[in-house]
Amino acid sequence: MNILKILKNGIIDENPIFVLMLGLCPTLGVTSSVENGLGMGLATLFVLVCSNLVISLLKKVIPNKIRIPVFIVIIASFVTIVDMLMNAYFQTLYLKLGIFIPLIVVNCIILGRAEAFASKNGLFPSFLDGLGMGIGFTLSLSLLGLVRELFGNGTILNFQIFGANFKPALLMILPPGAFLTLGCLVALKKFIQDRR
Amino acid sequence: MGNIIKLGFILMIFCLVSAISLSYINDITLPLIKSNSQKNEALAKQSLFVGNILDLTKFPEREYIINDPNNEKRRVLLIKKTKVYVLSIDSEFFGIAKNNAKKEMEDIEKVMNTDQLIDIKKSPLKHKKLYEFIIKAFASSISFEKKKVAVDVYGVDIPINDDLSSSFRGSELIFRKLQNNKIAFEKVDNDYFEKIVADKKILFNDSSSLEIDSRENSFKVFSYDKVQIGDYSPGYVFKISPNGYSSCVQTLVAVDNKGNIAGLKIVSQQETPGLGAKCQENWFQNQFKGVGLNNLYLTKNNKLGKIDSITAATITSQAVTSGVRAGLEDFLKIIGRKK
Repeated sequence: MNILKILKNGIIDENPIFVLMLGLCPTLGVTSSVENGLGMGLATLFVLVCSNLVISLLKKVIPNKIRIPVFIVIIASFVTIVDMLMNAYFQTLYLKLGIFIPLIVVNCIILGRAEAFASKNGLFPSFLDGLGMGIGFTLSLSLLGLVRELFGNGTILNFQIFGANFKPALLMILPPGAFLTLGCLVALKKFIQDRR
Repeated sequence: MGNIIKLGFILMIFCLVSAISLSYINDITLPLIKSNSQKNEALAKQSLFVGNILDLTKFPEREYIINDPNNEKRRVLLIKKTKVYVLSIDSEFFGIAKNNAKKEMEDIEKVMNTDQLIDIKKSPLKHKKLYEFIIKAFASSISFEKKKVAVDVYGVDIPINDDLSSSFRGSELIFRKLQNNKIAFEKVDNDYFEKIVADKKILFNDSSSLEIDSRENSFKVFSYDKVQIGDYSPGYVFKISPNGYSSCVQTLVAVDNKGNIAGLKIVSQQETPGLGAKCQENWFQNQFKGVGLNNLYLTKNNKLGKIDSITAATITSQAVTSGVRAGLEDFLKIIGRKK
């Protein structure tokens, strides 16, 4: 397995949102704007890389039968540690991202990667897998947020895109808009892939 | 059997390790987090009364100092109300060319002398950063006088100290803490207690340390800060924490001397990102400015209301609005009765 292949696997071939469809709960809830999508994505990226590293490191110590509770303990304590450290030392960042961090615990993409990849592979491939999956997750969330913010609020990153007469489609910011956007984007991705 | 114990033991070790590391990190970060949030709250309190506009007529003649942001002990500017003294200034930091510094300062002095008002939004772009620092310097001179009151103790509001004691009209009163921010009498004479309950009037005598068993008679405690700029008091600040959708929305409310809301700042909340969390956006908080008790409703619930709720976050908007309303009602009772 080479480096690029693992990274591409996370970003395109097995994209967590558009292909694996993992971690949809925080995804659909949070992506009402680009900023939120990006924030959630970056926080997840960090935890994903760290938990992949730790689990890959401990894979020989963890008995197969109780691996899932052990993974959950590791991930949950990691998220809590990140939450506390960020709150103490990076206050400004925390004020922007802090609300997303507790949501990461319930994100099953992290448990999914621990189970499917990190517990079977070495340290470096696990790191790359976490990185690739995290980037794929961040990009997908930002894209979802971009579409929803544009149509639902008429802005991108809080910059007004349309004129003052534009009436935003409120539905796009509400939960149904998340499903609609996700469906359209998945279809678009399939369409592009099939034409190749 | 042996397998169960072995697996259980391994899982327990993992939990133990994570518990120890979590409590260790919690020990390190807790004081920092606390001081951070206190600092933020103090800054938020000051900004409630100054914000983007500085009205110099309200501030007394004295020295206001601006420190170098990179080196807190080095003073760079000294302001005596409307005269700016440049002590030692890294003018580039403020976005001002060095050879122009003197003239720029004179310009700023002119604005301060003639308008007696600094408005960041209307200021020329090149002065923006410097104005922000000037406003900060003036804002940091605002002082807050902490006050705590036991509300409606048989018709009287009694100021209490932090240790829940109070000396009121020559009598020593000691309260004891209950749940929900309430207190009850700890030490009062039994006969005397019955007398005041029967009369529904509080009559204090000179004998102190009167004993009574724990009789349930609770009073609400209300804490607020009196804001002081020199001799002038622009109003009061109090804190409320109504229950939102998924958290307590910690909110600072500033009230002016007429009893209207002078400003509102949500200092911490854990509402749903993208929906309820929007309550920290400026447009929502600014709606409360200047609103009085009569109009403190959501527009969709009451014709008189002036607060637009956040799209898809009715519970949060409702919680903040009714929380502010309840707080203001309590507060006006206290202040109203004093007058």
